[in-house]
Amino acid sequence: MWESLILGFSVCLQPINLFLCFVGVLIGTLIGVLPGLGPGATIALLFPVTLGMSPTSAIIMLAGIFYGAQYGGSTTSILVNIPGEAASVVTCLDGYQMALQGRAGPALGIAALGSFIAGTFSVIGLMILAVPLSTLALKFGPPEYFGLICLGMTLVVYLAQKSVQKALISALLGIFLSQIGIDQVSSAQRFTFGMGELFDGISMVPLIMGLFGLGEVFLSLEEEISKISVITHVKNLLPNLKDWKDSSWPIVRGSILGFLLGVLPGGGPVLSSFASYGIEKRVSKRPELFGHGAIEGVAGPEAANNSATGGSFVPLLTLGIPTNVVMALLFSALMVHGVQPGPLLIKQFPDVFWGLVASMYIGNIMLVLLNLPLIPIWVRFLKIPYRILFPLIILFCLIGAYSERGLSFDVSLMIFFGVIGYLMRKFEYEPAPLVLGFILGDILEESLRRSLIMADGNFLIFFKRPISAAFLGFALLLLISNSIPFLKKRLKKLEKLEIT
Amino acid sequence: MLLALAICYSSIRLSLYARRGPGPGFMGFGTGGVLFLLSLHLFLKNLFSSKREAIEKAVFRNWKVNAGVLCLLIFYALFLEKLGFVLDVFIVLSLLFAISKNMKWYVIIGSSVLISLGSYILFSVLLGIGLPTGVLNFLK
Repeated sequence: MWESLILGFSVCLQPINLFLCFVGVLIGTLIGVLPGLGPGATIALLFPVTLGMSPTSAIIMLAGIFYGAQYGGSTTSILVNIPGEAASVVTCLDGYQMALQGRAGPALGIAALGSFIAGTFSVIGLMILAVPLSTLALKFGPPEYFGLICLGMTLVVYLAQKSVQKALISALLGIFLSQIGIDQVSSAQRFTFGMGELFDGISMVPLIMGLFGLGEVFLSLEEEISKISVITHVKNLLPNLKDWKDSSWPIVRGSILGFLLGVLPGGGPVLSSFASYGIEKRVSKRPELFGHGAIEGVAGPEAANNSATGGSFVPLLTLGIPTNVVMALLFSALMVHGVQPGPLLIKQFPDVFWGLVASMYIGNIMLVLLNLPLIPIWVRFLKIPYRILFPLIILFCLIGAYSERGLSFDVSLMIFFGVIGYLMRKFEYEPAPLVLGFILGDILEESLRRSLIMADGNFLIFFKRPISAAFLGFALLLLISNSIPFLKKRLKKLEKLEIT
Repeated sequence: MLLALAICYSSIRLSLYARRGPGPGFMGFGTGGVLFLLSLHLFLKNLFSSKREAIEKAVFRNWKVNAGVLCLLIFYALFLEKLGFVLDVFIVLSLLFAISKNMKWYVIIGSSVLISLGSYILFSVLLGIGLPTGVLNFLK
């Protein structure tokens, strides 16, 4: 492992990769600070820029944006009470209260240092888990992959922030979209309406840029934040001994929890930060302080959301399964560069894997050095009005959609998905399951068909093999457990009706 | 629901089974079927629900701005090949900045020229992404 890590550092310390790592974490911090632009949309926007780079350089920069955004998000939460990033929503609760009490410095300090500790922990976790997990994954056949993807999709739907049913509909739409194009087995045209541009299927970039870039713009234009009051007076960034004493266990718990939830499909930074806040409040000896400026309420969630970023890479790089939208984007970025994420990645492209791991160590150090001294500059960025930002975001979406295949059809497709993304948000459908369904739909169909061909059309193959049976059984259990409260509610209603 | 039914219908036409195992329409039929059941359930739930929360949330505020932006984007897609990237972006950006009202006309024109030219140089010249030149092809 140490030899591989040295290889990784030798790749990452090349001037171009070091520079791109810096650019990635800098952009990540910036978009983390700015409300209304998440890492998913930014990675989609910057996707065309990476086309001319090597796969290692591209993944180092794009990953930097992802974990950099988790650092930046806390700044806005603490100073403005507006989460710069979805994963920093809970940081507002106690971070802003600390800022109002004149303790913005320690809040920002513990957020940055806690993030650094958790970020480093998650990279170590990734390093330790990746090799054995990918060796295990090599033993997986099509039925096991089918079971695993079904479980992954179920978890994504189960952990949906809004309605589970709507998340399932969203995921199914994604699976349907993934089938558009020429079928690779039978060469039949599927749902193309005879349009030549759809023969190769829907391109990933216009879909994501539309749903996340343009869809967000339409939504933000409805409610522009006209006036925001920013706390600009920040002093004593380094937390004192008492702050450290109060925060050390929340950081440890947040790091472990975040990493584990990051590995789960549908988990990731947002869920981890909420879960960590809940746990900290429950185990605290002074839960009444939560919501009124408890430093544990900043340290735990901030550590958790950063640790989750490292955890998210585990299934992507070892199993080839993206667990959230950002991972789906990185998946397609690697695919575009001819690198297939999955069990063979570490063997076939050790420079990509170990280069990424090493870049995460270096990126975390860069972030902690960047964040604290540059806080006054980040605060200034918060004052840029959205009416100036949105035309630029739209411009990036337009260029990105065109750049992959050089077709104006893709621009129209991006606009179409922009409207769909906006409507989905309006009617409380989450776009993330759609993207995951779209990405995993291909692998799901392929593994299903290959399994059935292996078994001469016998569906029992999925239950005869222990690993796939376990995956599918667990997925079924999750779906049943989700419908139990609903059934109980129905039964109670029926009982009431019978009584009356 | 209609989309789900259309997916099922098209999938059946594609054939559900092949010689060995599932055919090209198999997965689509399954997806469409489950989608139909879920949509039907949601439709019935909303039909008999007294709550009007979802409808209230879906109020389209500031819709004129969004409709304007959408029209500009459609214009961009339609005229990208004919006008070329630089001219098309210049027109769309100027009008997008104009929506913001608070900018003076010469600032709008100046920044639109700078951004459209700058982005063309960055993406087409430096990064090698082939962007259409359209009517400005003679300048190439």
